[in-house]
Amino acid sequence: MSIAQASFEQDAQTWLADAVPERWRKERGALSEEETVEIRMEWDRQLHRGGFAGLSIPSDFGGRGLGLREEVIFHELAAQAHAPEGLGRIGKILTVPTLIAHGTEEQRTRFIPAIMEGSQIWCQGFSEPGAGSDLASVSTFARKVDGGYLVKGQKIWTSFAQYADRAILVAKTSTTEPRYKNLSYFLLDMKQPGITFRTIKQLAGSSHFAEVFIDDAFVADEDRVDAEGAGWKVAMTTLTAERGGIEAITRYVEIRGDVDILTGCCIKGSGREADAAELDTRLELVRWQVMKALDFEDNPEELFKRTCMLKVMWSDIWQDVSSLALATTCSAHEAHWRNQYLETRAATIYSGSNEIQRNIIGDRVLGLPR
Amino acid sequence: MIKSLTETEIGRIAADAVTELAQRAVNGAPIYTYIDSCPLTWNALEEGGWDSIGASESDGGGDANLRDLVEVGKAWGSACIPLPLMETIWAKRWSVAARAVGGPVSVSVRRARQGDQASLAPFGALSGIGIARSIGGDDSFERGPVGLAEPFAPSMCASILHYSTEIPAEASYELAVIWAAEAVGAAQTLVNLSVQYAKDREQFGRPIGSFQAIKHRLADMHSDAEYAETAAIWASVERDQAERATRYALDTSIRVAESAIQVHGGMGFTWEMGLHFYLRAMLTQRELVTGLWASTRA
Repeated sequence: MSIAQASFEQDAQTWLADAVPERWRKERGALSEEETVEIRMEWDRQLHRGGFAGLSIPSDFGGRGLGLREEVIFHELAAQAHAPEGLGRIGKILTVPTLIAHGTEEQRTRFIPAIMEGSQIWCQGFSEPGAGSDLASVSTFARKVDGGYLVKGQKIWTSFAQYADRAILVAKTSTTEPRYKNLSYFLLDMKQPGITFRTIKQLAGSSHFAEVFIDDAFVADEDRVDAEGAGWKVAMTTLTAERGGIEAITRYVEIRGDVDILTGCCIKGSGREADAAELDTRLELVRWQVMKALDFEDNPEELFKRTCMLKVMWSDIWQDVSSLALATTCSAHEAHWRNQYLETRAATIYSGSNEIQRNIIGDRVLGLPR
Repeated sequence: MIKSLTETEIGRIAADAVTELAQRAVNGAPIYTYIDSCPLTWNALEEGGWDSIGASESDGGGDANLRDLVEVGKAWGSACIPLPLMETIWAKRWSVAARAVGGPVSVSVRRARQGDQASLAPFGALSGIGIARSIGGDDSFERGPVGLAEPFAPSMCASILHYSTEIPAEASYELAVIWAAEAVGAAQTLVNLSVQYAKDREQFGRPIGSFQAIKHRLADMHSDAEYAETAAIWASVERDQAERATRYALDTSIRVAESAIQVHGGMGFTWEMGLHFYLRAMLTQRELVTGLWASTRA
């Protein structure tokens, strides 16, 4: 570790000790939905004021211009300090890297600072009822009109839809161009009359996702990312970010919390201690895998070879942890594990199902024939 | 909290060099043809100084650290050549006598099997080997071949002995990491062989690698080999976590080998395809590492 990293770590620790709201740290489970949302939105603003937003984003784009290493250090410290997770994660983890790779100067200036400040919440309009794993077959259509497009269609499994100001959206823009060339990528204003949504009650009983109905919503030409027809390429950048190292480390800290409850309490005397120890080892390897990959930060191909399997790994571990924990007879945490067990059924499906992820490893990393 | 996990220059150079030496010696021959008649001479390794890279520079070595030896171990495990390069590198790192005596050196490790008092010496059946009575003290060596040959893993030329080498805990930890690294190297080779086979082999008019049933298994093999490597690296930088990390590296490498045989289908089950040589070496390495940790605890 360099001296700069050591001092960064110290600064972050000091800041976190002071910044994490007491109510979140102590009574988080008792907070209402509104209070939770308020704290999570404020957390994004706190991060920005404290200089801890966009750590690995180049300073030209309003970030801190540090490396992925600092990003990883900060996420781990934040987890130890029981910090909330901001509501702006889609904007930060997905929109920003996509705009840096494909956006115009004007788009970057218009959106990235607002995302960093925590004043703009984003959601992701990719999946549709008829286009899940087969993302390229979306049927939402953006019809060219003067100065922009009118969008019509339906999106589903949209997290943060009810809070979002903007959506990254993949829509068809051509009926004649072939598959993969008929899509465009938009930055859609979510606060307009053409957009309505309905929350989806999930199998665990909560509603983290929504259906979004788009009925002639307008999106301006300057809110299209890259050329018309280049949407698939842009979407791939977003998806790679969604399944990469930063995402994995945020998941690592969440799962770490669960494994600590399991090994510190529930597993004791269950006769299944060895299974818990094995899960602890697998989880630590997620973190070590990310750290190993960081040494290849400047070589996208080598980096991908080492990060492409992370999503499969952490989602499997998370399910195994809650499954094992539920099989213990700990009464103190019964409600927690029932909920986690049901909630984590989603982990192997969202962000691209693990089956699709294995296809990507086979095709892109191993070069197997399609 | 976060350090670079890459090897230093000597690790990279040595790993590349032994890979090249091995490739040149094997020259594309299938593994079953050379496993019993070693294609490489000990002199070739000794002349390059590759057997002493782990010793300090003042002792005429290359100053490689344990992380570097993980790289070299991977390269050597991947070559699967029946010579005790890694054992000798490790011995010369820890033993004045091993550096003085010259030639290949190995150790004898108490088997961790219940009711078995015997020890297993990798390369104990090799002619000219020196099996150490102890390491890091007033070390002496018994000239091989010694003991009763244990032919399970031909690339390990092992024998059964009735004494085990006395090894200090720190040295024992390093040897466990090195053997785990050799298994990881073999696992990586098996992933590459399996991917190639799945691209070439056709059934139903298509390469079998285009079928998701095969593709997903190969994707998991790639992931497992990556995690096994990460576990070996983790073991090399955090000694207090090394027992579980080496165990994970070995178990996972073995799982990769089992899948490699499955992907190769009926061919995978043949002696001549030779996948079993890697698997046998891994199983032996796991037994040795289990024995090392058991001795450390005893």
